[in-house]
Amino acid sequence: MRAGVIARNERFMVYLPRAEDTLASVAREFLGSERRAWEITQFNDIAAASPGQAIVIPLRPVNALGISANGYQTVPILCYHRLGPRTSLMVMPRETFAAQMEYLARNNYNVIRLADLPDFLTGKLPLPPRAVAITFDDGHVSSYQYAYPILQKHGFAATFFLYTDFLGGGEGLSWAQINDMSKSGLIDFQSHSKSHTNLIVRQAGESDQRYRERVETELRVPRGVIERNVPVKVTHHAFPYGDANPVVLERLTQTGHQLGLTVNPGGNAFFAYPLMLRRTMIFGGASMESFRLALQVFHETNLR
Amino acid sequence: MSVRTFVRATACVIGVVLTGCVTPPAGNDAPSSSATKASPVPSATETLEQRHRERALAYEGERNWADALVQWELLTLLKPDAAEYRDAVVATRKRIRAATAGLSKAAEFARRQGNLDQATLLYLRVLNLDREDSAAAQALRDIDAERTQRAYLNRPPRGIM
Repeated sequence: MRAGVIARNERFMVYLPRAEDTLASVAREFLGSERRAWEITQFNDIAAASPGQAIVIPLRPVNALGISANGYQTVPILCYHRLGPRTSLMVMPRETFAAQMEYLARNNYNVIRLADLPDFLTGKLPLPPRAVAITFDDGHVSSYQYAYPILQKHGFAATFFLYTDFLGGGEGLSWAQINDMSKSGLIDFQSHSKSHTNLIVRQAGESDQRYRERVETELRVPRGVIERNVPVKVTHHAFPYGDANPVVLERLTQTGHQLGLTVNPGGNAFFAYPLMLRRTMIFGGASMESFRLALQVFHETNLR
Repeated sequence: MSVRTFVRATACVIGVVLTGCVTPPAGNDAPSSSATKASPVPSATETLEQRHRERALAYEGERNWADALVQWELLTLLKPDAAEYRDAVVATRKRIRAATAGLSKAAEFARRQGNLDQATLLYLRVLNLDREDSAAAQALRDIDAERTQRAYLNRPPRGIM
């Protein structure tokens, strides 16, 4: 039997791999991305493509919602701020961060891009089992100095949420550093407001109209600034302090954002509310045990 | 024993049995050693068919209709002329419809009564049977949006972060 496509319909393709094929190359060719190779691995229960061994490529996701008889998949989004030599609530020693990333790598967690989440939330594409997303808030220079090399070492993607008034001076990232990380293809940059004011707190004597305008400014300005300086599309917004209210959510939608991120802890199922996603803060002095508890990748419940 | 382990073990046994009765496919390079008799091997698709047939039956044994349906659907591609597989698709879909109809109604009722925990559980059960039930998925999204907003939108502002 010749290598190549043996049979195909809208749902499946049966494929006999060529000698040079890998599951990644097959996924790239037929599913559009190497990162979807796990779907072929899982469906066929194989670790690699072998010539002479036909495989099934699920052209339509078999279980996009991550649901099974004993529960459903949830995706934890981890939230970090700064790394450094000292420890405080918001500052984590880089050795601790390195140990946490090592833990993810050694225990078969799949670090996904936050940009993969919208398709999961709309039921279009599945996420690999034990999927986890990594985020950093603010744009502190330590995320470049300490976190980025560790993320690179493991090939882990992360999203850095920037508040743009902080950048380019003092302890904020420079645009050169941001672009250096962007070129790696691992780090994405999204919005964390302009000034990091808590958007649900009204200023003294502020009218409804003025308040709405200020909220809109805090959402629109950082997107424009980031998109002018880095080749990214800004569609996600992490709320400063994790707080939102109906006005903020309304403006978020109207300004074309897909995802809003809080700091309400927990994992996100396929049905999670995209404008208020749960995100778990990993504090500076977090023990490995508390880190493990933050990795809520499955919600067990009897669905029979 | 997990379904996968059971299926793999069964497929191995069946593979051995089939080796003696299936003609090798055209173009297959059989060993040419004169010392050993060339043993016919199942074609790549026959092996695949057997493996997924066993999986379909194992899932049915577990009453896991969603995964069984996926396997039967695949088998209709692998062997389009086999009435057995087409019939299995129809029968499994019928089972799924019968099982989800009552659950969906109960879920909607629980939701109307404001029992969101029960409604969530029932909609999840619907989706465990029929992963493409977009109404159940949307109901779960609406419930989560409502609950999240109710739980967090009226909280006092948080501290420094």
